[in-house]
Parts: sequence; structure tokens; C-alpha cells
Amino acid sequence: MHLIMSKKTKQKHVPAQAPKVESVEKKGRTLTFPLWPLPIIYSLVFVVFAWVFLIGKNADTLFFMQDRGYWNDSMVYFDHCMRMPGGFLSWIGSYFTQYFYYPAYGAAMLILLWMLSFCVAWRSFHVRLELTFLLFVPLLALLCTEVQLGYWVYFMRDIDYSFYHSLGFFFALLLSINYTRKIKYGGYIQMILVSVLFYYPLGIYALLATVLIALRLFWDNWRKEWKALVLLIALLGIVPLLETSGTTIMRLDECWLFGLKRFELGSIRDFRLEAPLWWVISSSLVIPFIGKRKYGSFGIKGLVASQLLMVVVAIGAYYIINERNCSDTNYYAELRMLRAVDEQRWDDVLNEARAAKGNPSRLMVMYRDIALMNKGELLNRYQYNNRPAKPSVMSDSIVVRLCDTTGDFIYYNFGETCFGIRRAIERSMHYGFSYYTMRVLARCALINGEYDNVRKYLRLLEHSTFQKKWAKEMRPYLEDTTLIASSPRFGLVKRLYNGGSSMVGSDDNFVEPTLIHKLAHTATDNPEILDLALAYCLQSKDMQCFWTQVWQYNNLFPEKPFPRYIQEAMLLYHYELKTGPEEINSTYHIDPQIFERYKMFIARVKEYGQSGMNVEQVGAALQPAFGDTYWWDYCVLREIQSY
Amino acid sequence: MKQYTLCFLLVVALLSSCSHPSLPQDYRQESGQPEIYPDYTDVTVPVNIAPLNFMVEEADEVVAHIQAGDVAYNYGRGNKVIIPEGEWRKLLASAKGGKMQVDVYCKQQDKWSRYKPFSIEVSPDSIDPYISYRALAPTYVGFEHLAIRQRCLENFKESDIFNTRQISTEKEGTCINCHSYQNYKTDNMMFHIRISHDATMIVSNGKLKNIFLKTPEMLSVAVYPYWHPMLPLIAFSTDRTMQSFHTRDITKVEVMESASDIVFYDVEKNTMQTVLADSIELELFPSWSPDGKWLYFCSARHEFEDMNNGMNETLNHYRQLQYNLYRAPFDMETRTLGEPELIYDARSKERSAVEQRVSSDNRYVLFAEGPHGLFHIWHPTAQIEILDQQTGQMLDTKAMNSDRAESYPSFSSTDRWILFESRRDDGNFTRDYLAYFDRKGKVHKAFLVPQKDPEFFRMSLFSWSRPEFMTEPVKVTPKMFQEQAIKKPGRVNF
Repeated sequence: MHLIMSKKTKQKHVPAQAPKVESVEKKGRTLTFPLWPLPIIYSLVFVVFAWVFLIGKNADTLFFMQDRGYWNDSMVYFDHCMRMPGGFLSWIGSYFTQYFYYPAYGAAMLILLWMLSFCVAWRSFHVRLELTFLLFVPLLALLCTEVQLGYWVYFMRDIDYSFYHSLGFFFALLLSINYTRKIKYGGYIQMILVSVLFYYPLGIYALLATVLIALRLFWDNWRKEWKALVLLIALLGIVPLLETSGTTIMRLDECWLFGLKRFELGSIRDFRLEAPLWWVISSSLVIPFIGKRKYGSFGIKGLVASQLLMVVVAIGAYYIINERNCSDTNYYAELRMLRAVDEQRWDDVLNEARAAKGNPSRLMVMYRDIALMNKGELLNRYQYNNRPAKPSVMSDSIVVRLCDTTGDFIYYNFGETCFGIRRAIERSMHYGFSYYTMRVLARCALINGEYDNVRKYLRLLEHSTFQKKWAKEMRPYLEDTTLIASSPRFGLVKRLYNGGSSMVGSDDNFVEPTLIHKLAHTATDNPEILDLALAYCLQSKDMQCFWTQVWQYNNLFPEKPFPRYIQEAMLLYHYELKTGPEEINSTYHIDPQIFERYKMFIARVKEYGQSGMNVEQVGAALQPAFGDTYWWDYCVLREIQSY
Repeated sequence: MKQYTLCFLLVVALLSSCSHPSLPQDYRQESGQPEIYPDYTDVTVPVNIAPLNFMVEEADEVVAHIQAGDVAYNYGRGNKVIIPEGEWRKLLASAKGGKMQVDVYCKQQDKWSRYKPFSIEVSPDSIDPYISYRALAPTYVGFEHLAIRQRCLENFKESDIFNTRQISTEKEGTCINCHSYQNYKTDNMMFHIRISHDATMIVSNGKLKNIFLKTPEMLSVAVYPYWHPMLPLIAFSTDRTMQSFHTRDITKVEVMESASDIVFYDVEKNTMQTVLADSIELELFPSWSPDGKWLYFCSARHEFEDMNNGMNETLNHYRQLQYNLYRAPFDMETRTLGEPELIYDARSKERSAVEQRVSSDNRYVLFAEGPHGLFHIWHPTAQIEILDQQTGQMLDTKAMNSDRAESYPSFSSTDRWILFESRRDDGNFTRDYLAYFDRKGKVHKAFLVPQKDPEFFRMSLFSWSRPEFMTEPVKVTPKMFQEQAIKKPGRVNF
């Protein structure tokens, strides 16, 4: 229905009908602009925008977030959540986070929730059609909270983060609907009830709802309803204090903002990442003031101005969200490789390693090595780019460490299950238990033979929505533990565990050097483990250790030729035996092609060295011809910084 | 009106049928007892214990018929048996000094089975109504959120005594540990706060203070405490602790001491005094006899080749660090210790005995024994043992032990109950167990501290460690502890 309104109908403080069209007289004709499509257009644009950022760019992050989340259907977990303000939000938030197991499914739910929030806000605050785009400002801020995390996803303590604030915002709007308009002092009663009854389940978002009700009352009739602001101040001051008095689950000074995520890690605090959450709160306070009741028509100028503002908001939002969206390709590659390793899709891991743009992170190198190891090709690791990328950082001042990210899982894959358990528990202590951790713990315990411990974690996983499938797959290994050693799933890890040395020590928070050092020095007659030992002798460049393992290889397989990269290393390390490469060649039957290539390599190195080139320049010059050799790695990648 | 009455009666009937389901008529008789969790089959429980709710994990539905004398009820809610506290009291009263019989029916795949009944013996000896414990994830080095909690054993009421969340920030984490009470009462008690707000919280005659218990003469801050039963005196060990991690052994971690002494802290005079500081002995875990005339402790002997390299040497010889049990006479007038005497030579058995507690009559010494070292909760072969000092014999403690780690035992104030921590459930999460110790010196089967929801420990990701009996709840509130904790701590005089 089109309704043409005159500008004369605009009266101060007189509630007006909703302007559903704008009109302008032009040369005696009245042009009408229907306004009702505006919210639909805004919504469509927002949905597409959100989908592109959530699924187009961050599907891997979303999956990872659910994997680092945790929810179970027991009352024990519900009671645990309900102990703190915002506990219900936390419980329901962690429930919905599970749905990122299928990222598109979870993202659709999140966008639906945002659209519901939009509808509730629009209808309950009677927002002018041409200003409804402003309702998307808090929603865009919420979108920003989802895509800005980058490496912080490894350090999130809030397993409910993805949905917590979106649900909180939705409930705040729902509670601020004017349910009590027909009751005398209804608004005041609503404020009291909302703050008192909902502070504990909804935390800060119950307080936000109280503020919204007060602002609505005040804006409707500020001469009469200023008392709403007085009541608001009293409620905000008293309710959190009273309801948390005697609590032991937080500091008293936290009671007003408890539940509002803080990006803190040790002495680091990233206010930049907290800003979108403050935007959600502050921008939602504008909503009561953009209701249509206060004004009549904006007129055409108002309409144009509002739409210009909309364009500014849209461009600004795109700029900010795009800028906040993590652009580190290694970060996304790591997430994909982690999932592929978890699902034992070794070819996918290697494809990801080959497709890497730029130098790989150490985590990518570790995942790739795990895949190579499982394919029995670990000694081929020099066919890949081993140049170290700059250690990943999540802010200017803190380095992401393997032991805090997926050190536990890496340890597990190398059969170091005790260290894996230790790291998983330490991580859980700081960042909470998660499905990921429970799977790592269950696998490690299975390899260790701690079967009741496996049952504990499987039982917990069986109480979740999507992880029960994995838990069910594990059950047969408990029913028949002989399957463990013979299965493709656990066989190699079990053999690595059995063949590993028993020691007492510490990793000093360095996963990669610990593994390299331990594996390189492992005395073994198991061919698989010997491959590992040789590979990591090469990486550690520990020549004494290398020759020990070479002799062991020679003893075990006297008739078998040495693998290519071992031959390359033997030629390179000949001076260790105080002998020339020719003698190595004759003793160990080096492949003639490798020997010829080695001579060419040495000649080129000498040539470049005499020309005064530095290591970087020599490396670059040699890479086209020798980039796939151990010699090149040995000469160029001298200092690999682990973290 | 009639309609409303009818509806009301219908609802009442429906509710009562839910809480007291009828027994299945059509079932298959099984020859064995049901596999219930927690395992309460054939246990002896105190007359004042909370309901022993349990579940049968493999079952879809469970109905239990519990009979004690003339009192009998049926229970069943899904696969759980939840007993209302009032009815449980009636069952306990009726079975006091005797037994209650539990008949369990389980439904699986739409078929009911009836299992061989089991009994629960109800001892007239009541148990101390409270315990306190430390709730934390089963961590190794890190810590984040942990609490010292108190639990009423007569019901399911539970609350924090203190929680690190009350004071810790992201920048400055806090650890709390080693809660201890004088003679099972809470007017005199203490616990340590570490890292930020580093101090010992001491309640002395109901008054709270925080003191930083370290002097230059001590090896470290005061660590493992034990209140003298009568005097305002706490014995502490003070030690250099380290830990290292196994690569393959499922023990996973070794906690070691490279040096250890025992000190006395006078709570009223605020003075510290070293009492045992033999350079080649690692004296640890002091505890008083209930009459206050003996100080018991454990000690491992190790002669360091190079005292400056104590840490490395300890690491290399950790398996040789085995603790024996000693006691030394204590003069309450002069507050001096006499010559220590060996009471239990664990080392000769290639074992290590620690965390000893003594019964009221000084006859029995209860302790944890493992292969080496002092943190037996990490040693899967660690067991709870009892030495009869009168006969010099060890009691048979098989009934309360399991094939997994047991540690930190203590007697109740009446000696009739033993509380200890165990990893028997899954090998990783520590749980608190109770066992009856009768007047004849017989140890009965241990049982898990009951929970309102029997699934609680299955789902919980926290360990319950260092359990202690209390005859009353802690009266100082968490808020009072918090307010004191953030104040600058006092200093101790040496």
C-alpha cells in the first residue's frame, strides 16, 4: 500500500504513521518512492556480505572454532555454565558453536540470528524504514568479531565466543520490547524485572536490555520519564553487585562487564580486537533514538541524506571488516592442514604444502612431515620448500608458539604421547577443554594403553552433537585393543611409541627442536623409526649422530642402497670421516648421477664464494639447479627459528 | 471443583509413579551383580552419609528396589537411581548397624534384566560431616582456575572456601594450595596463595591474617603444613621442588625435592624456627600425633656429590629418592624435638612412604606408598597402607586400594573413616574416596564421595585433590579471604 504524506504532517512530539513512501512534486507531478523495499535490500546486501566473509573467507576458521569449543548435553555441564553471570548465554552459545562443524550450516544459523535481531529491533523500536540500515551497524560489528581473530583462535578461552555476543544482543533486544505498554509504570516494572531476573543468565546483555528500555521510555517522553534514567543508574549499580555478592567465580570489579570478551594473554591486551564488541553495545544504544514515532516524514532531502549515510556506513564497514579479516595465507593453510592431518588425508596435506604461497610456517612444515612420514616418504622432505616463514604473530609483541597451538597433536603423531597429553592438559588448563583436546587426549591414552582414560573422553564426546560419530569410531579399538597396532589409523603412531626411547626431561616449551633432537638420537632397528632418525639427523645437521644412524642403516640393510638424500648428505659430510667424496662414493656406492651433481654443486659454491656473494645470494643463485637437494638446504637454511 | 481435584490427584499420582516406579514383572534373571557407577556394591557407609545415587551406564532404564527393614522404596529415572534425601534418611535409620539390600533391574533393547542384589552396610559410626578439597584440572605445571571447596557429606551442599578467580587477573595468575585445619576445626586453619598475592592465609582463633612465610634462612617459603592439635603451632616443610616429564612412562611426571627441611611457625608470636635440617636428609610432610607429643615425618636420604648441582643430580637419581617414615618426640612446654626414630623402613622394600597420618590412639599410621618420590598420585602403583605401631605389622588394605594410584590419606576425627584421593576411575582425574576402618582394624571397601547426579564425576573435568576431613564448615567467607588476600602480607620473624 502506498501512502502519500504531506510535509505538513510533521509535528514535533506527535507520533506519526510510518512513512512507507517518500514523494516529491516535480513539474506538477508527484513522484512516489516506495520505502518498504529498503529493509529488504539492506538485508539482502548484509546477508551476502556476511556470507562472503564467513564462508567465503573464514570457513576454515569457523570449523576450527567449533573444534576448539565444547558443549555437552549433561546437567553437570549446564550447572557448570550457570554458575557465572551470562551462564545461560555461555551454555547456549557453546551449543550453537557446534554447528560450525558444517561451517555453512553454522554460518547460516548465525546470519539467521542476526536477521532475527534486525527484525526484533526494527519492530520493537519502530525504526524508520530509511534508517533501518543503522540497525546493521551492531550486526556488522558482530560480523567483525567473527572474522578478526586470526591466530587468537588458538588462545580463546571463551568456547562460546562465536554465538555468545550475537545471542546476547538478540536477547537484549527481545527483552527490551515494550511488553508492558498497557500497565501503569509498566516500563519501570519491566526494567526491574529484566535486570533482576536476567542478569545471571544473560550477564551484561541483561543490563543492555535494561538500558534500552530506559532509553526508550526517556525518548518517548523525556519530560515525564527522566525518572527512568534514575532508576536505570540505580539498577545498573545495585543489581550486579547484589547478585554477585558472595560469588567466588570472579572479581567484584568484573560484575558490570563480565562476559564481555577481553583479548588478554599474559601481559598483552589487544583493545583493537575488543573494539567491535564495544561497537555492538554503543551502537545499539542509538536504536531507541531512531524510532519513527518522533518524526513525520524526512522528506526527499532527508531520504537522500539517510541513503548517503547508508553508503558511508557500508563502505566504512567493508573497509574495516576487510582490513580486520586475517590475510595471512599460512594461517588458513595451517587450519586446513591440521584438519587434513586429523582426518589422515595425507595427499591433501601435501597438496596444501605444495600450494603454499611464500615460505611455509613451522607448523605447516611439521604437518607436512607428518604426512610424509605416514606415506613413508619423510626423507623426501627436501623436495619441498623448507625456507622458514617469519614466525606467525598475533600482535606486534607476541609470538605464537607451537606448544600453545597444536604441539599436543604434533607430539601424538610422532608417538610422543606422554608429552602430547601433558601439552593437551596444559592447554586445556589455560584455554579450556575442547573437542580437539579430548580427541588428542583419547588418542594418546589409547596408544599408552590407558583405556579407562580413553573411555572417559569418549563418553564426554558422545554427549556432544557432532563428535559422537568420532567417538563411536573409536569404540571398536577399546573392545579389541589388538586392532590398535594393526590399524592404519593408529599403527604407525603405536610403532613410534613402542620404538621411542624412555626418558625423563622437558621440552622447555619448544616442540620441534625437542622432537628433532629425540628422534635423531633414537637408537632403533625398526626401519620406519630409522627413517625418522635419519631424516631428523639431516635436519639437525648433527653429523656425528648422522653417521651413527647411517652405520645402523648399513648394518640393517647391507644390500639396500641408501636413500637419495642420505647419499647427498654422505657426500657433504665426507670430511667428518676424514676422507674424500670419492672414497665415500666407492664405499657406499653413491648413485653416479648424485655424485656428478654434487661435484657441480661444489664447483658452483666455490665459484660464487670467490665472487664475494653472501649466503642469501648464493642460495638464490643455486636454487634453480639445486633447490631440491639436501645440499641447498644445508648451505642456505642455516638458522631455522623454531617457536 | 471436582474436575480440579481429579486433575490434582492425577498429577500427584503421576509424579509419585515417576519417583517410585513399579518393578518390572517380566525380566530375565542375571547371575551377577549389576555394574553400577559409582560402585556402591557391598560397601559400608556411615549412618549420616548423603544418598548413594548411582547409575547403570549401559542401561536404557533402571529401577532399583532398596529395602532396609520395613522401609522399602523403588527408584529409577532413566538410567539413574536418584534417592530423595528424606527417604534416604529413613532407609539409613532403618538399616543402622545392619544392611540395606538393593535389587537392580535394567532395561536394554526393550528387555528387562534383574541382577543379583547387593547390600550396603550402614555403620552406626558417623563420619565427620565436612570435607574440603582442591578442585583443579589435572594439570602438570600451568594453572588457571582452581578453588578450595568444602562439601557436606550429609547432603550435597558444596561451596568454595576460596577461588582464584576472586583475585587473579590475566597478568597475574594465582595458585592456592595446602589447606590445613587444627584438629578438624576451622577456627584455626590456613592455606597458601602463590604467584600473585603470595602469602599464607591464616585463620587464628577466627581472626584472619596473611603472612609471607619466608625468611632468608629457609630453603623456600613454607610448603606442606600440619597444625599442632593443641598449640598455635604449624609444622611446615620447606623445600626446593622440581619436576620432570616422562616420554613413555604413563607416570608422566616426576615431582622431586633437591633439598628439604622442617620448620615450626608460631602463629601467635609470628616466628619461624628450623627444627630438622640434615643436609643429606630430605625431611618432608610433617604431621602431628593427635596427642601432640610426636612429630611424624618422612625423609629420603641422598648424599649429593656436588651440592651446587643438586637439581641435575636429583634428576639423575630420582628413582633412588625413597622416603622412610620417622617420628620425633615433641616437648610441648619447651617446643623442642627429640631424636627422630625410624618407624617404617620403606626403602628396604624398594618403596617410598609419604603423607603419613596417625590415629587418635597413636596406634595406626596411615600413609601412601609408591615406588619412589613423594607425589604418589602420579604413580600408578601407589597404594594406601596402614602400619600398626603396636604390632609392627602392616594391615591388609587391599579392600580400599585399586590397581591405580592412591594418595593423600587421612583419618576422620573418630578414626573410623579414611578419606583419600584415587585415580582408579580413569587413571587421570583424581577423585575422593571414603573407606570404613572398623574397631578391629579391618579396612572395608572404599566408595566414591556421593554426588547428587551420579554422572557428575563422569562428566567433570576437574580433579578433587588433597581431601581433608572437617567437623564444621569454614566460617570465614570467601569475600573475607579475598579482602585479606589483596592486602600487603605481614612478614615472619626468624
